[in-house]
Amino acid sequence: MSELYEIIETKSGEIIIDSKALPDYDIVTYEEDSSTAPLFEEELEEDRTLLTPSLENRLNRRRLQEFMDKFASELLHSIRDQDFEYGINSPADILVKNCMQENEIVTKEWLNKIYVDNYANTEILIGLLRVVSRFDYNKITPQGPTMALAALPHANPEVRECGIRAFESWGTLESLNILRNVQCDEDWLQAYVNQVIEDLEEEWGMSVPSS
Amino acid sequence: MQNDIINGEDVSADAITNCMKTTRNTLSTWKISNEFEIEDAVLAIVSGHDHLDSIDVICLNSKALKMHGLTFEDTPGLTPLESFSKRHVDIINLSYTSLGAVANQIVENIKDGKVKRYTKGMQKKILKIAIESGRLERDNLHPSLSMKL
Repeated sequence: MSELYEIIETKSGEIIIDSKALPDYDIVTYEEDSSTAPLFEEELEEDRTLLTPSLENRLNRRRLQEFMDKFASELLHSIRDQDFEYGINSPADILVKNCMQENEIVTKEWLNKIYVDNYANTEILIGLLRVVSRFDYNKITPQGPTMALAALPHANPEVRECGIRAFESWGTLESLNILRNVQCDEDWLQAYVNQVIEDLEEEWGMSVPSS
Repeated sequence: MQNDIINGEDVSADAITNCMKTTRNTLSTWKISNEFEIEDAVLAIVSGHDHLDSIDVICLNSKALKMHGLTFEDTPGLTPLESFSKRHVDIINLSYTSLGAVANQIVENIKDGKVKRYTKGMQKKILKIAIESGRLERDNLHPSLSMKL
């Protein structure tokens, strides 16, 4: 390979013997699917100048704000104005499903924020709880179950009921363990909790069904 | 805030407009001959749903409602349970007064404890039995509902 020389001072054609040679660069290739091939995240770890401490936070905040700007108004409008019926998908369900397909993590954060901001608004809370209960537990956790847990001590019994409905809808062992520790003041609501516990215990093979 | 109708408080407007939502002054119901057919009516209702949610069922006394001037009309029911589709009945020409008569009967039933909640687990059992016996075709269910069974 021919030597490369860096011109370090101007002379009229005179060859400078101790010219500094530039480093020799080899072409490096990575084998596809090689176990030694570095991942993008590993490269970032090695060179932290590529990932400033605030970059991830700024990206996430921007994404969250984009979702707020783009969808919050439509969701709240949908919840307020929809003709809701148990068992039937609502426009709010479809809207949030589309958002989850776009960005699950940001959508969950966004729903959580709306929930907290509207804790005094029972209509919004009930609408949000109905929406999050539509998703599989593993997809909506941890924000979904946290929202349902926060519903349980709410002053409005319909909100508390919707929290219980969410755990019933998810039907997981985590839901069962939570419901086993729920105490309701209203007889009808406690009867509902008891029936759901019985249903889940049977589904999870923890009880013998009555004939 | 919810009203305590069991202890005599008035029924809230939201309970009337949300739980007894009419369309073209019509309320949709399913006719049964006796209490043993309640689960058939539940099956007819939930088999047409997109997913399973607990529902509350109340039986209305059609004779008592007719005495209040309510009119019933047989209309085809939208349900995958074909054997029950002809049991659908609309309460038609409802007005403020006649809807109030329906609301009063519902309130009395609630006070007397004559309302039954069919949870998701209970609905699953009813649906599975119907599918296994051939009364209901699984393919006629909404995919997200079928997946849950």
